Amino acid sequence: MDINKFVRNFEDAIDNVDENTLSGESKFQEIAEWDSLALLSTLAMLDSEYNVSLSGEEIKSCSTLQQLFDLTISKK
Amino acid sequence: MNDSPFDLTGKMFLVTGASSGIGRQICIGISQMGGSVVAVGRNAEKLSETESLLKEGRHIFFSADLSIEEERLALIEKLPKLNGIVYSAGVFASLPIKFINKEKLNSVYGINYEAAAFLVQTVLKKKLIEPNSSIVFISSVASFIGAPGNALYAGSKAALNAFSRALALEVAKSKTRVNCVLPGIVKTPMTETINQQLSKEMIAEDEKKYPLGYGLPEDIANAVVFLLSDASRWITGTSLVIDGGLTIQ
Repeated sequence: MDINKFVRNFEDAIDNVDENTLSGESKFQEIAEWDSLALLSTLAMLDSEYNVSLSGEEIKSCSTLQQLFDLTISKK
Repeated sequence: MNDSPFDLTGKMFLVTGASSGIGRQICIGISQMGGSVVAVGRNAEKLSETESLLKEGRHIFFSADLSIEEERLALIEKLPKLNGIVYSAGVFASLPIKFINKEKLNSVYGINYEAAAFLVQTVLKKKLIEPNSSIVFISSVASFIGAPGNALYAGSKAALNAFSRALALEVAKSKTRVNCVLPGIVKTPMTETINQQLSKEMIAEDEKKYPLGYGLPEDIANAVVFLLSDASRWITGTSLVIDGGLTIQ
């Protein structure tokens, strides 16, 4: 489990986000593509790739992708 | 006991999804109108909570997962003659289309549609339903409006709507009626699982789309009791939308 793969999975899950445009430091809820479908897609990606279920509030509590990654790891 | 056309005294109804939410409230509503239920749910503990909320009757409680054929057939063996069926078992799934796979599709369609179709089929084959009965499927407004992530759930409910219209014609000779009820968001344990995926702001924003706000289980159960009673004896094949005004806009 590494952060780079996690960021690639995130980029892959969200529509209209190109590969290698984000990093662990990216504030994912501030990107233009972040909306309710992006939230559902993130939840679905975490479930299918990491077998982790987060709540909407937990996702919201994360600022950067690194924080989301750390939270995901802690739930495994 | 009572000559009101809304009275259900002496009647027996099979209610699925009876361990919580809308299904549980339908059992309560039937018992309040003098009827009895065969209450079916997956969770035995929650089913006994439902039992404690019912008025006296010839109620039967049966714990089963109706998407499993053996459990469905075990239920059929226990059924008395019925005056109606309410299919309220169902699961919600919020999954963008890119993430749908065969397993997820089967799990949603399995309980929301397939189990409904085969349960009703077996009841008909075994002649367990009296003439002049009423069958009600709990569908959803999702079956005719789009929302991101709703493809699987909406499709399974649209399948129920279509099934119910064909069924309505096939059982009309015995004066049995078949209708669907299409709720918007009702505050239940099932919709609570949807809400966990969203933030509090998103839920508050969604509820604003409902002129009368989100619904309560009794808002659906009262309409179902009407559809089960002789008061609705000329109503068949309809899809009754109950959504606090969401879809009139």
